[in-house]
Amino acid sequence: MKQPFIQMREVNKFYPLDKDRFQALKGINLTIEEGEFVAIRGRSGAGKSTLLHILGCLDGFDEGSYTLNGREVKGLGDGKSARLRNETIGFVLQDFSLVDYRSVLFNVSLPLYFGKYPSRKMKAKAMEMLKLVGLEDQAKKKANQLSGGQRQRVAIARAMVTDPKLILADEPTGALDSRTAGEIMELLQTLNRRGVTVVVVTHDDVVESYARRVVTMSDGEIVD
Amino acid sequence: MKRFKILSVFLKNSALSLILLFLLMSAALLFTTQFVGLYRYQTYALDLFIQNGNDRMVIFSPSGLMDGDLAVASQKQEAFSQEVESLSGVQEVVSIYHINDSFYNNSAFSIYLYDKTLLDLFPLRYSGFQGFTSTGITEDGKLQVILSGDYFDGETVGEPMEMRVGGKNIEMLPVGKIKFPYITPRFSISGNGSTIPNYFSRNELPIALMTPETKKLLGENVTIYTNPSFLVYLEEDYTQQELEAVKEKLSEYGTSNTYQELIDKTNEPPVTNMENALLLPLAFSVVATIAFLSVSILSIYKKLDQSAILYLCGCSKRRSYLYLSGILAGVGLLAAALTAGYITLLPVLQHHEIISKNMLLLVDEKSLLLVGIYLLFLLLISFGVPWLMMRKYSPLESYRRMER
Ligand SMILES: Nc1ncnc2c1ncn2[C@@H]1O[C@H](COP(=O)(O)OP(=O)(O)OP(=O)(O)O)[C@@H](O)[C@H]1O
Ligand SMILES: [Mg+2]
Repeated sequence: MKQPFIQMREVNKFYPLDKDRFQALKGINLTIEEGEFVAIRGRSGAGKSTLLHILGCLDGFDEGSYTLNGREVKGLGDGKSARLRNETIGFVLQDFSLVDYRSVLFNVSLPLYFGKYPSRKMKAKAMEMLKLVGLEDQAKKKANQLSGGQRQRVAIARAMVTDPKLILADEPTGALDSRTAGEIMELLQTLNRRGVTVVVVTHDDVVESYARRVVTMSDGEIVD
Repeated sequence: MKRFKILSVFLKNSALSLILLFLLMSAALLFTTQFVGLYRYQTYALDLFIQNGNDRMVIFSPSGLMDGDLAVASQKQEAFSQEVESLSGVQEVVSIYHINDSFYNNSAFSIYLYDKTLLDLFPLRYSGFQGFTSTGITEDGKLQVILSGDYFDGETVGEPMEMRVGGKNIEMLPVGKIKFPYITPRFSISGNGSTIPNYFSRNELPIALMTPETKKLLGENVTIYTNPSFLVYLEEDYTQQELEAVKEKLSEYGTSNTYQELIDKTNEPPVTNMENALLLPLAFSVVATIAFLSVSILSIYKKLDQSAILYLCGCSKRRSYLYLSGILAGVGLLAAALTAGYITLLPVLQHHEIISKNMLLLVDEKSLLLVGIYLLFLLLISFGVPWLMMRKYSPLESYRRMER
């Protein structure tokens, strides 16, 4: 039987808290197949970001197991998980996390610098991504000269530049007006139609409506 | 190429803090060099003074009476020192003599004349010393000299040279050279200059041996002056009463200090000028180090968000760390290069009086070692600060912070 693309079993995550510890994730079981579009929702503090960070190998977890694309993630070192992130995952965060004062083109090509991608093809690849998000005419601008919606598109172009199988987005529309938010979600939907697995954290009902599956979290647990 | 591009993520928009870091590191290194150099210089005189361990001495500094005309003062000194020499318990009065009407390459240079006893009491640091003959003059009539100072760099030990003394050319034979910082006994202090660096100082001139023969050779042309201060060399079995009597006698014309008194006064806490001179660079060096530490913490803190963005794109923490500490260490090495340049050029700059010769630094292997250790300390900060900062603040915290 083929292993699911993402499989989490009984994942527990603790944060140290003074002498005690705080359990942010409690026995998470989650399976996501390749090509799915999943929304994770829940109240503030429910553990959505924590889960997303673990899904994206940005953070570790304490108990349980997690396989991504057939690979056990637990115990991967700093270097190996960086490599896995670079090759398999693209991130879109709420605040657009771009390198200011650098060009849009540079920002989009940034992930390519950490892989084996040939230098001379980097520019073309980044331009292709900018075209995808409709910003090919902004390539030379500095990242901090763009509007919020444009910045988020750049972030999506950057997330896509290594042709990842998985896009993880943490409230990607949280700082945008509803029309721009809709455009961003449509963009993510387009990517999903091309076969990319998308997981979006949100509290926005509109965002949820783009997803084919909704996972609800409460107090560190998946409730349905 | 790729690496430089990634590096540029950290460098972009931080020219100011980089320049500040460079300035602070350079200041810290230069002040430390200054401090170590001064310290080494001042302890050099002390080292020279105590290296022989012979403590049978009282050093006399006249006050007032012997001021005025050099020749008159010299005669008074001669007369007085003969009186002292006749006291019981005194083996010998050791004076330093000099002549002034002497020129080397058309520049005025005094010539010092040292007693053999003086040279035995305080062996100087030579680079190649072949020794004086008992007369201080070679068989073919050349005056033997030890050369002190970089003016004589062009002369070679064993090869004759000339100076104009009293309008006449005198042939000389260098028998040795004094090492940097050219510190030799001087004893010319009047008043109570009662620390060792006041009696041993930088003297850039030729030094001849004081013998009846050299006195005759030079005395034909010029006056030989006697420095006002002198050293009273005591008999091996001198008694305390004899010492008291000598000091009593010396107090007629000035102050005197025994070997131990001089060492004590040199090390005494009421902050002397020399310690003041040390305190300032030390304080500056400490301040610059603390400032460097703070600025590096702040600038690394500012760069953590950049590191978090790179982390998102697949840059490992280790790699980010290497970039950040590499930048700091790189700045440190630039500052070290500047310091090395300063140290190398210092003698040249001082020779041309671009930097005052009064700034008495001794930069030798020991000083360099100390400055090197300090540089290692700075590099340790360069590697330690990013390490601690990245341990304390993970990229995840940056994401949470950015969300707010
Ligand atoms: N570094 C940390 N140390 C201690 N507790 C933490 C830490 N990070 C998160 N937490 C706690 O873990 C819980 C889950 O946090 P998380 O950020 O995952 O929530 P969230 O669902 O993303 O909330 P929001 O919708 O507000 O972003 C919260 O109660 C939070 O206070
Ligand atoms: Mg969150």
